[in-house]
Amino acid sequence: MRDKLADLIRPGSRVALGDGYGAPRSASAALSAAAARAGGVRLVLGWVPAHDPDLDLSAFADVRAVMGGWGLRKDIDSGAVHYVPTRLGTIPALIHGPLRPDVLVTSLVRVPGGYAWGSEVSWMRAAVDAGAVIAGVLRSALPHADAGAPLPEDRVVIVDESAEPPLFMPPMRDSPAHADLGRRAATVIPEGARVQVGPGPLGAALLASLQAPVRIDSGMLPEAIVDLDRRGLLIGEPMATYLTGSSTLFAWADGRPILQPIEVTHDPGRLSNDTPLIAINTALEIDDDGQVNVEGTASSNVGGIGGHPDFAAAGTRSIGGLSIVATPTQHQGRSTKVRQLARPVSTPAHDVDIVVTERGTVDLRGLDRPERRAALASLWGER
Amino acid sequence: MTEAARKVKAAELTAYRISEQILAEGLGEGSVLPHERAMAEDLGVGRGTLREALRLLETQGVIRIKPGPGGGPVVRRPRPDDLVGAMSMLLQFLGASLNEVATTREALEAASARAAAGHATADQIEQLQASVDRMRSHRTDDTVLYAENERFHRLLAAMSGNTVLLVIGQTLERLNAGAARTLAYSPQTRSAIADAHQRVVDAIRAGDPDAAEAAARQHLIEFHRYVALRNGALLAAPIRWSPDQS
Repeated sequence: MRDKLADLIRPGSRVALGDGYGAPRSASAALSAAAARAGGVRLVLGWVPAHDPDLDLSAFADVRAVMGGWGLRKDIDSGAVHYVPTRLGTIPALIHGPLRPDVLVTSLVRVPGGYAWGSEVSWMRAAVDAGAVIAGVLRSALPHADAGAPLPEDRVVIVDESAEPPLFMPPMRDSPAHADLGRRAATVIPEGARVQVGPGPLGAALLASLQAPVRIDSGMLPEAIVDLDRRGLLIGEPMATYLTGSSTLFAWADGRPILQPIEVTHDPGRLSNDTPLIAINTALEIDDDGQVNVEGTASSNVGGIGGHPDFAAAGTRSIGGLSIVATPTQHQGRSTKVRQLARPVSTPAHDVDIVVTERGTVDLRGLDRPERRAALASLWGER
Repeated sequence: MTEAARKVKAAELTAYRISEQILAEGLGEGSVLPHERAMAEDLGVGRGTLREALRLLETQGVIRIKPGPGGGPVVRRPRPDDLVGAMSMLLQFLGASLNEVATTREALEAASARAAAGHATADQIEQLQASVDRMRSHRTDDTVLYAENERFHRLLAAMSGNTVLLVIGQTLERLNAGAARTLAYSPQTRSAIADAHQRVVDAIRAGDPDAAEAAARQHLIEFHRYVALRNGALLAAPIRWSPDQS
């Protein structure tokens, strides 16, 4: 079975490796071995939430990540992986252009009429549309949450079958600080709005604090969605491109048409039209003018840019919508508000409408530069 | 060859001869076999060897020993279920998991449904339909759900018209039934299971082997996924034989 993958990897091939919680890790060792044998193979990675011990980066001539994530932090910091700064919404253009893969190694599930993606679609549809050969790992324990048309059988080479469950990430600690931010952010969300949340404790706290029904239109779909649905506060099916949770979320999502490719989930036109869009995101740092850095600290790539700027721009553009940034004023003893960001700007200041900290909320809309600076300074208690 | 091994060999030969006689004489279920002494004399073996042979046949499900006065060996018809104990014992020692059973069932049920689309009688199709209807009309009763689910798959295996598919299919169905019974089913899931069964019935009734095969395969894959997402540990764990399976 493994030889089928080796047959697809030619010297100098560019290979894209499927990402997210359903990444095809059972094929990582075989892919590394095939790449080492072929030589000159270039690897494209997406979102890697946890380290993959079977993926031997030294087997590849070049490794590039368009997203990053905890699992790549060390390798990006060491230079073993080149982090390509990009918002999520532009990844399909990269995948069709300078990073076009010859082969996509991806997890798939069996559906009527062929195969479908399981717990994420992300940029993988773009790789298929750009003509990549699909090396599929058939997974019996991934949910089927892909809303798209099936991939016909004759487009896919099944290179492995696996009963492995999706990646398990221990749930993040409930932090009182995030619970407080979530409660505050929830108060500005109107009933029936479309809500986007990022991964992590802020989004979970926000969804847990909601008291009125909402729609979910997001990049990541966190586990807190299950409880929101149980409380009768979820309108319609949610939309997202990555499922980020544990078995509770995966079991809930199975059979629901949730996942769309990035071309749809991060389409600025679609996001900012119709029902008001409320984007709620966090920040590693925010500067005096309100510019946001989510990419990393001075020494380390934390999460990459991701969908932050896509949703922030769409939230500000949406009539009746909002782009909210919520962050504690301090992180590990240091102020989250800085004169100079440690990295280039992830999201420009004019794509932030409302900033929430544990000290309160400021609305920056309609303010000029000095007024914005003053509002932010007071929110951090600087004057 | 040791004395003990010779005795086993003799017992096996004797068991073979008895089973041949049962078949040759066309003895049906419930037919009473001669008493021990008469049989031993007739077959020219010792009482010990005969007892050993009868015990072997009992394990294989060919006879049962009726206890008490007037008791003795009675012909029984072996059934696919008799294989469950032996199969799970074998799979346990080979280190197989329920995951492998589930994967195999995907292929076998698809083959059964395909064959059934060509072989099933109108009566069989009605039995299959009745099972779907009962599942639908008892929306909250777990016992009915389990029983009708198991009945559906056993009927389907029987409708293939292929005895080997029937035996293996029903045996694997029994091995997996325990896993199916550990889970909770929401009303939506119950109706999804009934819908999936209905699609198989419809395709068989229409005499469409491709559609029947696809519908059965998809149903088994979806159910495998359903169990994997809710009790993956159970599927991954090695199969364990237990005495109540035999």
